[in-house]
Amino acid sequence: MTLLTLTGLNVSIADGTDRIHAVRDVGMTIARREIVGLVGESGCGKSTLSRAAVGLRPAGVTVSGSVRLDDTELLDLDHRTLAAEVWGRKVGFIPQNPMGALNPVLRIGHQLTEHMRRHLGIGAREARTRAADALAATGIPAPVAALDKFPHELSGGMRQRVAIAMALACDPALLIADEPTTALDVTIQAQIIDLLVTLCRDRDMAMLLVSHDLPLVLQVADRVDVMYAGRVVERAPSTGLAERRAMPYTAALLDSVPTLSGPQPVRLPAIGGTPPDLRAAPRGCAFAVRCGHADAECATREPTLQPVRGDDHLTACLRPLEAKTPVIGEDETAPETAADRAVPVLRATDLVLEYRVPGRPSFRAVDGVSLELHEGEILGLVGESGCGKSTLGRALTGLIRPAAGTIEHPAGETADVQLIFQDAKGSLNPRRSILDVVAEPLLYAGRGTTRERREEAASLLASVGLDPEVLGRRAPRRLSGGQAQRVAIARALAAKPRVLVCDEPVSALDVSVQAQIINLLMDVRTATSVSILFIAHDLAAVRAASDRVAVMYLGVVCEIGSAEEVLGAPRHPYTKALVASVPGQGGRLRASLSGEPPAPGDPSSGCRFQTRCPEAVPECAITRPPLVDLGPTQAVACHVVAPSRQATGVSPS
Amino acid sequence: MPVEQGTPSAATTVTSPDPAPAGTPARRGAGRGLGPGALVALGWLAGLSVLALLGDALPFIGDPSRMTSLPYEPPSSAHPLGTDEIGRDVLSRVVYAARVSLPIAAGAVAVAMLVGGIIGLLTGFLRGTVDEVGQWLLDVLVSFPPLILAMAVTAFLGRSPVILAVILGLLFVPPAARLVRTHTMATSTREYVVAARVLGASRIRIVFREIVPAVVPHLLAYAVLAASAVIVIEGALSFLGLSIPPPTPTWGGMITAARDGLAEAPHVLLVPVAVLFATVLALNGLADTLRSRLVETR
Repeated sequence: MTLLTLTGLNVSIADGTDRIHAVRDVGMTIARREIVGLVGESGCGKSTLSRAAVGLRPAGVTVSGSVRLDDTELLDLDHRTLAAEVWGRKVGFIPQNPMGALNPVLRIGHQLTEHMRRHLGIGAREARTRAADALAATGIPAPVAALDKFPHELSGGMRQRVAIAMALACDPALLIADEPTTALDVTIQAQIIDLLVTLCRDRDMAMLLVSHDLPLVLQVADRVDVMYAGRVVERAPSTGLAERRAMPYTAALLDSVPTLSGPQPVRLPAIGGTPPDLRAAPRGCAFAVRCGHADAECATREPTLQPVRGDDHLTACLRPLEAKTPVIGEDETAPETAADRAVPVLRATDLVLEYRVPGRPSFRAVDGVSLELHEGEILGLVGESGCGKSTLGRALTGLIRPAAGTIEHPAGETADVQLIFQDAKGSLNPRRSILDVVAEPLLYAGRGTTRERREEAASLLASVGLDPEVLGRRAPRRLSGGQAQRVAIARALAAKPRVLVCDEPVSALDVSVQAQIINLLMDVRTATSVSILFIAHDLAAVRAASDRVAVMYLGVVCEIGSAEEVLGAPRHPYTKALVASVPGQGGRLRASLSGEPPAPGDPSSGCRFQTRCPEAVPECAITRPPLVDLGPTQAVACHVVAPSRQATGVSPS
Repeated sequence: MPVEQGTPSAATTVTSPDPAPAGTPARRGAGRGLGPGALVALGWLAGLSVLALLGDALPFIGDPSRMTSLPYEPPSSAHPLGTDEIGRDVLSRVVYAARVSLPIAAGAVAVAMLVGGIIGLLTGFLRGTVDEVGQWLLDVLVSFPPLILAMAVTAFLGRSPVILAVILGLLFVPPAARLVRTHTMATSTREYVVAARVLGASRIRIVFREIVPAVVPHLLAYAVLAASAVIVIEGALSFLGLSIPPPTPTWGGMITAARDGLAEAPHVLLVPVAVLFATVLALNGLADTLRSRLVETR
């Protein structure tokens, strides 16, 4: 039974004097109780499509074609009718950023009931009961008490649950979830996706799940639409799509996502280029310029969706792939790196880092971390937000002075640690040209004349794969995210660092670009023997990039070892849970951890992880487990896995 | 074109494998015209300044203190804007009054921006004790009622243009300092400033190369706004007889003197009012334009 039918949908967005044709002639159906995934890089039109699919037409956006929900043509209805009868009533929305979707000055209960009373015409008391039920259904502990809270009193995961409860409140037939978990930590991500799928099954809802994360979508959706340049380019059941994909774009998307299974790749296969500008309709296949399989015909004729393998698997491709063809990237043997010799260049011992807020007890973000970084090695540092990984990274660059403990540089002086930021563009002075940005550290070091510095900057730009002739004179705002990160890396290299601290360097980038940046960092390491601390929350990206991995939880390192050991055979219960919550490892997604981290900085005694740990024993509440070596490289801080002989002798600092 | 296999090795150059989204509009803001409103405002201010500078070198402008005709003459070819209560040429007087108002405004703004800018930079960048002391000083300065302060000081020190400029400038030190302090603090936490610190830039370099260029546009827009406020306050002071003493013409003084003849010759009052009004309006409009053009919006 069809719930939503889109026919010949075109969406164009006014942009100054031009129009961007963000969605071009898309047809789609969603049946009742069906979960449909919509996937693509940013700028491919998936969010625009998901909004137009429920009749949402903000100023400047023109929608043509047909959108039928049940038997109603939504494009015939005006905004007021849609708001009264469709949105929130028949269609529920789940936002990417729940904080933005909740009114910060109104209590949760007020926001939930207002909505229900308007749509369902029920009284205040009944609405409150139903609101509490909806909150309970989303797994919020103490739902009645939560009704009287303000949004800022809840964590990100809890806010997303409230936003889901709001979407569920009027029993819609269709949920639109636009990147519902992108802003959340991995363990929370798995919980929320689990919840959405369970709710859809229990309440007979259909869902359009918009995401850039293809492995995630493949695990939960019944069917997947892959979008590129405003069109659906592949449509297939998600089961087995990883092997059966026909469109090279889908294959490239799948291949460029790092995984936790299989051998650790030497380089990640990356898709070059970016999606086309949609001001003018592309000639031929829009993907042809980035496609390794394109021929002359692809450049002139734009393909339409046609069945390839059975009636339910369609693709818009003139040269569809055979099932299971490796598209890009072959395995290489890893070059020997300086990391194999384990010469330490940076050593932190019992490091304690605190933030002082006047009038309040200081907040301890890092609580006794000892870490060694070897020459030419990439050390991954993972953990959920608030675990102190960024604070640790900044302390290693000298930006934060430790409250206790030491940072030593056994190999050289102190000014040789550089930092790469998540927001690469924000880290480049918007008033300088790219060339001057890269030359900055040379200026600070007082090296050469302006002209010599620019020449050196140009060669650095070339070394990170950018053309200085084309980009050197540009302002940073005209760079794409990936280019900006390359410029930031070139600038850091100009300072001739021994250590690069990369703080979430790829998490703001599209998967295809992510792979390029990770490859670049690995190349830089090989070429310059620089050591890299790769801070990220994405375990698969860390595995792809790192030689060794350290896992942090609430200010302490709970497991450290080679990437293969820690992420392939994790020992600490927290690492196990983190690894299990990553999608794309075959099998269904498991929400492996319940609950959320306690408020950071709360100095309860014993193991930090005890409140969420499935294996906790009484000992865990009393003493803090020290890091105990399990092998030549792997060490774990856990009473259960690695009982410490002198556990009682370790002070919980 | 083949799919690129990741990035080239660290030594080879290729054209960017990840080009910026095509068709990104050229630099926003810069290069766009100023718009008709701002052009009219600029034209008015420039014209007024030129007239004031040239003074009686121009054929239709004479000595503003000479009684050349009968009182309250209507506009004529000899006196394009008529004559005042004792027969002086209104056009000459209103132009010569600009010789008082505009330099005082410029001087006051220069004092405010320089002193306020330095205080704001120091307090915003150094924070801590410096910030606390600075804020306390500004609080003290703010707690003087502005007009009464101006009256007291001019009564005591005399009414020279320099003293007026300094007094009026001091009134605008606290808001300028706060504005600069806020933007300095906001800019210091921007990642490109943090990046410069890590890259080894000295504190002086960070202040002058990273922070000042980001703060100056905000201060410039505010300076133009402050100039219009100074002109209004100077007008009020001269209306009260506390600005430059007669016979030097001032807009406020002309307005005071013309009140008596309002029924007989309204133009004598209307001319300085209109000039004052147009000047303030032009400065306000220009401040708005500057803010939207100069201040980076990202």
